[in-house]
Amino acid sequence: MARRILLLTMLWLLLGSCERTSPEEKWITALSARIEAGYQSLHSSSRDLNRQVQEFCVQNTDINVPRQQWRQTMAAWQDIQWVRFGPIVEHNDDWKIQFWPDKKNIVARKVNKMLNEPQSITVEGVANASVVVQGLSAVELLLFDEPYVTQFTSTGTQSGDQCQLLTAITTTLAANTGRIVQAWQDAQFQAGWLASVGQPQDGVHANAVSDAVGAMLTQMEKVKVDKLGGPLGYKNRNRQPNGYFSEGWRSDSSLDNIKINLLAMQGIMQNNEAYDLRRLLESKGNAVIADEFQARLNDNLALLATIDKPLREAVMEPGYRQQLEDLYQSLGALNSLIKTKLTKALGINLGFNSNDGD
Amino acid sequence: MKSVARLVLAGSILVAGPVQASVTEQGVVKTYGDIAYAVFSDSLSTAESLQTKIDALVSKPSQATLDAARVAWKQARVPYQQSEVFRFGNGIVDDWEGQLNAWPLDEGLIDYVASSNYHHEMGNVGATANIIATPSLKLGGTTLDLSEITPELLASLNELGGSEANVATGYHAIEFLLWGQDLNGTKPGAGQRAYTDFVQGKGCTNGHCDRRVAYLKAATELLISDLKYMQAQWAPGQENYRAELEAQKPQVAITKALFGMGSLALGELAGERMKVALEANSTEDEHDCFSDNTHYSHFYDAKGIENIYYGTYKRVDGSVVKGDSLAQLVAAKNPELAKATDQQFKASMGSMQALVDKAEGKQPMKFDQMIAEGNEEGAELIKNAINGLVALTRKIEKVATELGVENLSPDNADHDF
Repeated sequence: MARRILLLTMLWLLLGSCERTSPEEKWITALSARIEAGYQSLHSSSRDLNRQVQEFCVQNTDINVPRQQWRQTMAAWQDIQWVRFGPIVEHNDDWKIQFWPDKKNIVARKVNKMLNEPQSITVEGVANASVVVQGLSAVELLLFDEPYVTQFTSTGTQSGDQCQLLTAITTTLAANTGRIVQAWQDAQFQAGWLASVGQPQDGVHANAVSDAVGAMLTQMEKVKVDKLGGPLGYKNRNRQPNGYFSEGWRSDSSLDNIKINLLAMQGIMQNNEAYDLRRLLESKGNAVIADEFQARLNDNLALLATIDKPLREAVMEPGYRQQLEDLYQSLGALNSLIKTKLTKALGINLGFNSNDGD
Repeated sequence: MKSVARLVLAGSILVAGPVQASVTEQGVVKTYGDIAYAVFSDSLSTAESLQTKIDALVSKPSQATLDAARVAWKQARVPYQQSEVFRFGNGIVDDWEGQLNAWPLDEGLIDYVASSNYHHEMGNVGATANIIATPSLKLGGTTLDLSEITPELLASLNELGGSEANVATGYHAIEFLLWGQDLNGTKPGAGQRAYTDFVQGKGCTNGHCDRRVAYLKAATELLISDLKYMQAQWAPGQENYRAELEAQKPQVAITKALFGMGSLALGELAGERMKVALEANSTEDEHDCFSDNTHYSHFYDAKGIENIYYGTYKRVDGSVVKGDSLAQLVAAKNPELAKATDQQFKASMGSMQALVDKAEGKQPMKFDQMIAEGNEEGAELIKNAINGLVALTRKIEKVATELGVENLSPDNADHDF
């Protein structure tokens, strides 16, 4: 608490010289730094993955080492996955990092196509291929899916086509994430994004605050409808569950992903080191919304912690149905809060988002 | 009769001069209903023509009768795609359309597929059920009696085993039966089913021609009865969905209209039907993947959005349904926005037209060729179409704000399964 007051005092002193900065601008400035740090973490994790994959391939080391690094990279991505605005969406870089949902297993089809044409397995070949093979989903297939893992171990040496492909993909991933960091840091983009805070909220001009809150809502709707509702079968009329529709069924990372997505929301609302969304709400006399948001997040985190099996399995077992249903409802309550009270407190309108089709 | 009266009225207002003041929200809602009724009526009449051609095909299978049925299927898509703008908001349409236009489908549920070239949804227990070859289907612990193929049976088999890729009915099931799998990938050519797949007795290819014919007829019959149902829901002066809608404040229907336009443009058409297919280079995500009619289906989806905005629909017989429009409401309130929206519609429809021109041109490039890896020209065409729809959606949002529609994404968080 004392630390928080000290920080606030320092911040107040710092901002004393530019008191015309609006609370919205302060939030967006701090949020931008947070996003940049997230992208940097994703990039450095991707580079480590690239290095460890090469060690695995050349030195024949334990597959669990690159697997663990894949998990770390995926975690870094999940933390920043909610950012569906800015440079990352302009070249579909988000899909290059991860292609999902993939109900028809396009990732296996596209990876097999490359493996069947070994001359295509180069960094250039991957960069020019379908977005599906350029990122974490394809790496997950190669490192976790049984036939591919067996192929690694059966050949004894790991220098075959799969290894070349793994190396080419992770090289591409490292390059793509590096480009994303740079694009986010771009001074012109940053200036424009910050300036957009003052733009009219009219559905035509970009506005950083509604970009950010809209992206939070889109992300949490995806968590509810796709990441949880998908495997539960709620997107189908007769609601049959299907474990293959969970996000990380090959690596059993689905629930970890949801947890990181929730913690990312928490980090946006409350970050003692910087001007967070809570402070923006406080500036408008709406601290109560921040409290409510945190309470709903806590509900979700608590419910999530009760599920002690991979989501792929839990959705298929009637014994877990009530917990999963409770979590689904609880996510709905959080989203409802964002959609209504939070947007109202911030005085913004949200337009269409890409979830509005079916 | 009523709509004729309105047409005359609208005409006289136009002549009278300062028109905008007399355009009312009620009038816009009426036009919305008029277009729905006309577009579903046209969907029905073109489906009935399709049925006539299918009857001719099955009674006398030949290349000519098969080709005629294929042409009729493509014609039936023209009004139906223009009806899709009534989805996303009109619950009655949303709950109903899956049986008619569900997609993408695991066609191995219906008929034979090439085992080496068939990619179905993971975990789909019905992906290779092959209803046509299987009078009795064992699935899990139960055995389904499929001996008699009726419209009701097919309707009950939709989402068999819980997978939404199990599409037993509707336009795409009929499309698959008329064309067969498109085994050309991203290379030229559509499905190549031979008419002999419908020949009875000696000469039947790929087996079970009797059941294939029964399936095709039952699916077409179901399509027609479904369309009749929806046409009746929009008929004027009846106790139906349209009457309920018109009994509410006009803002309710206007919100639904705008929500449908924006959702179809952005999430569905630009997103699911174009961006996914393009970025993943995935022919499995092509909308009319058997017939290679995708460019037209996309174009008429967008056309449907334009129809609602301008309150005008050109029917298949060439006559025009016309009335008070959103465009006129906007023009009365904010001429500048009206002009900008007009320009955006022109540009967006232009980039949809470019897809059609390329696909139907001298050296045709169909949608599945456009999405091939490395096809820069094709990718550019699709990207332009996507960007046009995204920009159009932004204008629709602006229009909504101007017309006092505050929240385009209504809060239904706990009810939207």
